Amino acid sequence: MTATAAGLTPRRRVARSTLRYRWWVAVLAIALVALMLLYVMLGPVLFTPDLVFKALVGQPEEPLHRLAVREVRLPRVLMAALAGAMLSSSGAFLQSVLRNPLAAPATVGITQGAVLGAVGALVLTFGSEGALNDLNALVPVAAIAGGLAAGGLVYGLSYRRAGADPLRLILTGVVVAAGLSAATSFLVLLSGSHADSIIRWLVGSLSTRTWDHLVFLLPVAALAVPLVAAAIPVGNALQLGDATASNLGLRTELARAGVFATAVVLAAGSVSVAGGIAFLGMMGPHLARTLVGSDLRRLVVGSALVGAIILVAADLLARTFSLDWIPLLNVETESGSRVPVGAFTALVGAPFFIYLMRRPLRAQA
Amino acid sequence: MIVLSCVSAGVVLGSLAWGTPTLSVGKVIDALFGAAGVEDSHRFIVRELRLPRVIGGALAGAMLGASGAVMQDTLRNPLAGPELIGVSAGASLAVATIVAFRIPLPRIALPIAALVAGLITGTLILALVSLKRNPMHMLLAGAALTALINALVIAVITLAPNFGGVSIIYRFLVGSLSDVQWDEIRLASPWAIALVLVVLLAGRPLNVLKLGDEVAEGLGVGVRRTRALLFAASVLLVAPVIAIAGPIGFIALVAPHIVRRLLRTSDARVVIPVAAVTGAVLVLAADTAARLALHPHEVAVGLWTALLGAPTLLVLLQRSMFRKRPSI
Repeated sequence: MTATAAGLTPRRRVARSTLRYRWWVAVLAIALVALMLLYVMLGPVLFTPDLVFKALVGQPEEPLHRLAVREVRLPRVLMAALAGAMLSSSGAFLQSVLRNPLAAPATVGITQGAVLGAVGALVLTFGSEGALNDLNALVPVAAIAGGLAAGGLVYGLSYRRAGADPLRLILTGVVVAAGLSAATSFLVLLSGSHADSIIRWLVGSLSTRTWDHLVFLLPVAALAVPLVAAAIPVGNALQLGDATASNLGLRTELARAGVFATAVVLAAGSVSVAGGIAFLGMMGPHLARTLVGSDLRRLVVGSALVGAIILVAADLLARTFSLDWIPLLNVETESGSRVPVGAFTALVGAPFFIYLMRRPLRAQA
Repeated sequence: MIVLSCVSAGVVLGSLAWGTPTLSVGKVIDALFGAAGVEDSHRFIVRELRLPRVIGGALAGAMLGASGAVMQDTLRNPLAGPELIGVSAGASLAVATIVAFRIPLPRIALPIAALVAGLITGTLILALVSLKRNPMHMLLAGAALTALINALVIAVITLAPNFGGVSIIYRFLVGSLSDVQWDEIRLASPWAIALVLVVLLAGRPLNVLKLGDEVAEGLGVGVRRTRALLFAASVLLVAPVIAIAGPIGFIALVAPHIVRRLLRTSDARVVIPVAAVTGAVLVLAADTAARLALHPHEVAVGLWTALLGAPTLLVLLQRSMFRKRPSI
């Protein structure tokens, strides 16, 4: 009670961790803004920061600059930041409430369920003229429903009297996710001429996102805010263990379901504009936890920032990557790549997953 | 055995007959053997379009079934299968890279590249997950590795100079028999020798391995070497399938389980050949369904097998999670 190992009183320790938290939030926020600026600068046409600024305030040197900055790159980067933040904070909730380091929207099937819902809504609502309307209000609703159903299924299948065993939960999630992805692929194949544009929902892509999509996402984000505010204290209590949480007056199963639903809404919102981006929802919270600790009040903010940074960086890479970077390959390519951003997050995320999977095992041994 | 051969004959005839146009069994047989009075179009449809696809499907299914049987016993893991531990995906990445970038290699090189890449991925997964651990860890690591490699496959295909659209993505991600013609059969059929060898030779050492490492050593079997050889053999069986059809999933996982259940034996000498036949039947049935179900759309056969296989895997998972030591 008197002094900790570091020789500090508890009060000073709290003060120090608060300082550390504020410091990291500031650093991450600055990094995010800098990265977003870089995102807007780079591309087929390079802009210097002052050109970007002029285009932003509406006094571009050329009309084209205004178009490139304000109508193409700016909405896309904002979308990347928002989708990344939502997905990553969703992972933070899931990891705390399931007390499972491998939990993430994509590993418990939520992402794939949401993708199935979103794609199903798209395929069902082809306009009479056959146009693909991806701003359909049904899409986020169906995504949330799909995410809830899939998450509930996985949780139910892996639940036993002693609670859901972490490994079992993830395994069931992986298998359910595989089945759901196959079902989505069916729908994609059925969609005929739209297949090319729908398939990016499977891997996650931000190409051709505009202001309309951003506005479209706002209702979901607005719905998520009160949910997140309510879920943070509940999730914090659940983190202490079911016994403690119920001593604190929580009905644990109900509380867990509520936090779970919050995570689904966040992930489904992200899916309904960006598709099923893999592994981000797992990486974000882990990196954030090492920086700001596991108190959900801080972890959610940290995860959102880290997730936004990762997705903006990955999409910058996806947007600009070209085979010319690999000197050995002499292939002519067009400028600008079509590689979906989800491919890049998976390249980083999958090794991270394997690392996480091995780590607790080593601790046991 | 009798039931199985009747079923397989039925499936073969069915997949030759159904389609547009649907032919009667008599007409199919006439067209096959070139009897007089067969319309040229029918002969072409049966001999040039459907027959190679049926042979390719049967070959692919047989190799997958045998590969799964060998792999599950070798790794002593009922949840093993080339598609679950990343081997299929790795092999598919190699083939996709060669095809998408038009790397000037002879066609013979496709299955060899698939083999090399499959062996590399297999070694990687074995290095990541120790055999003595919970069999589910391998499944998890395999899922992560597959996700990683599939991301690479998508990157490779979308970066390729002329993006072939959705169908080529499915060809390399889930597997499809729609490209199989006589050329592909010629490419893959020499590898069937491997299938015969495995069926003849692998049963005994597998049965010995199943007795446990110590007993096997006592019987004079080099456990590590045998296991490595058998694992390589199971990858070898998958490589040509990937080269001609892509990573068709869940056949290798499911076929041996069906056989063990139906015949109530786990004797590898029996399981391997019967699993091969079962795999062939499963792939042919799935491919016929893929051609017909959503006509005129053709669904990649790998999607059907994944849709049917994922629930099966869930059942297996539920079952094995309650056993302390999953037995094979």
